[in-house]
Amino acid sequence: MINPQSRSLRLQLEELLPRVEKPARYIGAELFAEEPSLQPADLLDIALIYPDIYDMGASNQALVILYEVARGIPGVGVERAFLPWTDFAAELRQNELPLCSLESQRPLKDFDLLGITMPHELIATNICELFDLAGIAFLASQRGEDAPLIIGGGPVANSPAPFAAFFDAFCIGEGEEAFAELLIVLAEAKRQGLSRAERLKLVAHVEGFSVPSLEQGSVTRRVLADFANYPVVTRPLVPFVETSQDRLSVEILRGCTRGCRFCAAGMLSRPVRERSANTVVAAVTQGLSATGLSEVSLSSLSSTDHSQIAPILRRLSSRYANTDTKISLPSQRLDSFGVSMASLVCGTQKKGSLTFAPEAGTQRLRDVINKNVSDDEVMGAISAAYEAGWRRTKLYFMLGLPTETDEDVAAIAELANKAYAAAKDAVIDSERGKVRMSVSVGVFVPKAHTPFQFYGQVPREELERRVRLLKASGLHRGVDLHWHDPSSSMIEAVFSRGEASLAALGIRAWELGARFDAWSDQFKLHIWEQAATDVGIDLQALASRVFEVDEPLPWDFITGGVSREYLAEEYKCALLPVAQTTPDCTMGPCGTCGVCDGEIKNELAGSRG
Amino acid sequence: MNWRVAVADFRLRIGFAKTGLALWLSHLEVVRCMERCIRRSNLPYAISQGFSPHMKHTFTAALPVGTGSIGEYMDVELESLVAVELALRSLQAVQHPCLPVLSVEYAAKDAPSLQVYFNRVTYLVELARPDGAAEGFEGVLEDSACAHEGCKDTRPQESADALEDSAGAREGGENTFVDPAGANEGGEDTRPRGSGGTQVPELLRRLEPRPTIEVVKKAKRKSYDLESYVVGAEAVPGNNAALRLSLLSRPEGSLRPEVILAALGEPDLHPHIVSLTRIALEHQEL
Repeated sequence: MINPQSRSLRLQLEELLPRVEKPARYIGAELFAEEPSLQPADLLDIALIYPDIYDMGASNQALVILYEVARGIPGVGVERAFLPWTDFAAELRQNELPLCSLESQRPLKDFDLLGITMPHELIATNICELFDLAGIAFLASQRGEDAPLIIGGGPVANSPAPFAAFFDAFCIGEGEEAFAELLIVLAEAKRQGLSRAERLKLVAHVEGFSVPSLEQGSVTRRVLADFANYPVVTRPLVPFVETSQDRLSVEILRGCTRGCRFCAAGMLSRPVRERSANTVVAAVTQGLSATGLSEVSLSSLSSTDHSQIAPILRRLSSRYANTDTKISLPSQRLDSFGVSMASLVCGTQKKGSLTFAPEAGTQRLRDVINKNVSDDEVMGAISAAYEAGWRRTKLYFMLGLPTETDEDVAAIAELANKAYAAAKDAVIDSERGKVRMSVSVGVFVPKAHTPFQFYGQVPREELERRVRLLKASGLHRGVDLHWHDPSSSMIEAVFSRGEASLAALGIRAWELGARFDAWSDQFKLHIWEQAATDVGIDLQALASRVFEVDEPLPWDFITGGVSREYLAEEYKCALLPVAQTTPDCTMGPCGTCGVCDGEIKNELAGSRG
Repeated sequence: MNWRVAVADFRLRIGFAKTGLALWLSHLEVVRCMERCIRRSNLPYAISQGFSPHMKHTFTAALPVGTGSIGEYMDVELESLVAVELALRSLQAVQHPCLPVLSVEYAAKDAPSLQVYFNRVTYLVELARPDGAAEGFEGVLEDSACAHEGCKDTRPQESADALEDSAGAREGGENTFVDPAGANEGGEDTRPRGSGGTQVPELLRRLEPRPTIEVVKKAKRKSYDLESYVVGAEAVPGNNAALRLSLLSRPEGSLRPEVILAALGEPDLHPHIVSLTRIALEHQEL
């Protein structure tokens, strides 16, 4: 609702714009954005929040989908908010103005509900910053009757304990239906004028919601039943600002059963559900013509695994041949099939780079992590890519995987050198000077709900030694090496399997000035070390903590996904003297992960493989 | 089927405004927004051939963030002739309300580029009043098509009047200024006019005759004889805190209005620009 007071606030906020970088971040008004208007007083006022800057969050798929969900529910008014960059935040503080929503520029503390998506573990200080700028008490237990209900969701909600003190509730699993049910319940509660405590009780009764302040027992993760026919958002808001995902996104399948033992997304998004080729093609053409965007991403965890990927790409590439529309696949399968699919989308233009993820340098270690690709397949994919015209590829590996030895580390360089030689061999002499390759190395972070949830992260100093070892392993001069800082991965590991006591650590790090920790240029280890000392926490001990396979885990209360027995069994298979691999159940026998024991099972549009 | 050809034959000149909240867009953001508008319109735009195909277009000189305009142009190459009425309708049906399409015409194929051709630019400059009535850097322009709540809020009466004086009648604009303090319930602007608007006459006086000013650009000091750059300067009837400046851009350089006013204000006046709007783009033979 627009009132004179908010008009005045809007003018005060607009006065800040000439003083900040990229003011378009703060204006809203994107194509298709809803106009704020006079609404009935008993409307449920909600704001969806991505706790990083607009540029990072505006195209986030969780936000895009849930915004659409909320717009479709009568009695609900939905707006969005983002964390401002440091310049705007400083202006807000200096002028004693509160953080506001984008659309109507009203203070966030005046909303009924704030839905915050938590995309990664390094988000604690941003959440504190958000609450501080908005004038909302950090701890749920300290919020008064009029404070908004604060509900978290997204990947981090699968291991919510470290964040439990900040949130009134969490949505566990896929949000489409769960969030809609929540809003219907809370819209009615608002009409009835129910108290905060009464509303929280209602939230706890919606399947998939965890309310930390109530005794609930287990919470069943939500899975969208009819993903194949669930409407695709074809009129997303079109930001002015260039965002991190500056394109239309059409999710072609959900779930991945390749079974990489480190991968939380793969374990948590099961079962596999595909949209049909007809649905995908229609969504792409409608979305592109409605938005005027020039690129579409066919998104999923492994898009080339879609049973109808070839017809989808053939149809789209003939539709958009000789136009300036780009079709992109976010991930390439590590074989020549992956490359031939990438060729289909690019037509004759191979200007970009292809990324492949062998993850580990030796076959032994790839068996440990259940990454079922061979050296020959890697070389086949590389040769195919350079033969097909690409001149740049990126190989992605992880350091610190369970059982990793110095030999495995050195093998990363050997594999990259072999790949580089294969790339040079695949092109004619005059093109050899153009061959580029880079190796990108991340750090293994043990994640809840994966087979490696029991395994402790390799200590930071040892990881740093392994980075130095890799750098000294004779990587060809033509191959660029990039690596991720092990110190921020350590903080990720602390939070990914952490307990409720970590809220104090996040708050202390924020007090000491930590913000935007996921930005490598903003992350400061010394702040976190100081914060840990202040609250009496040993960061390395938490990151490297080993859990027994029968030990209770802080996220055990979440059920409905892969079974605890399956995770333990997979862990055991990984650590056998000769690791045993488990095949993908969409192409081989059932791996008995337990997901299909529920009502929703793998649902493919055709047959795979 | 591919009916697009490499050589574009039709150069469509689109006139548009940058208004309301779009004031805060950078040039690149305006370009992206207009490109998307053209894609949505289904006009048969030409694309460049080669490694990275893209829409072939050119824009008038970049407007800085915070500067509005009611007279921008872009040229886009089409592959087939579309009647101007149809092109205009197609664009307006899908335009962003803060970047409304105002006109469409075809430019000659060999016409000089927009940036070279439009070398005489007229700005409406509104200065802060020392009495504080016009606070902050408010959005000046409001096309009637723009319905955003935020755009309505930030439209001072004077600017709208001034624009209608200078840019011809524009119908249907919402001329209600909302008093920031919320005390002015009638919506009519009753703020005292002219109590602090003494800077404008003094600044204009300092332009007669045109002085030479010193400007530091990228740590280099350069002098500009304003006789060659300022081709028009006048007060705005009915608004004594605003002035219109017509500036010439020359092959050897060009000046922005804020740079000129800052130099003229030395050492005693400190003109604070609260809004800056490009209101006319014209051609002048040099």
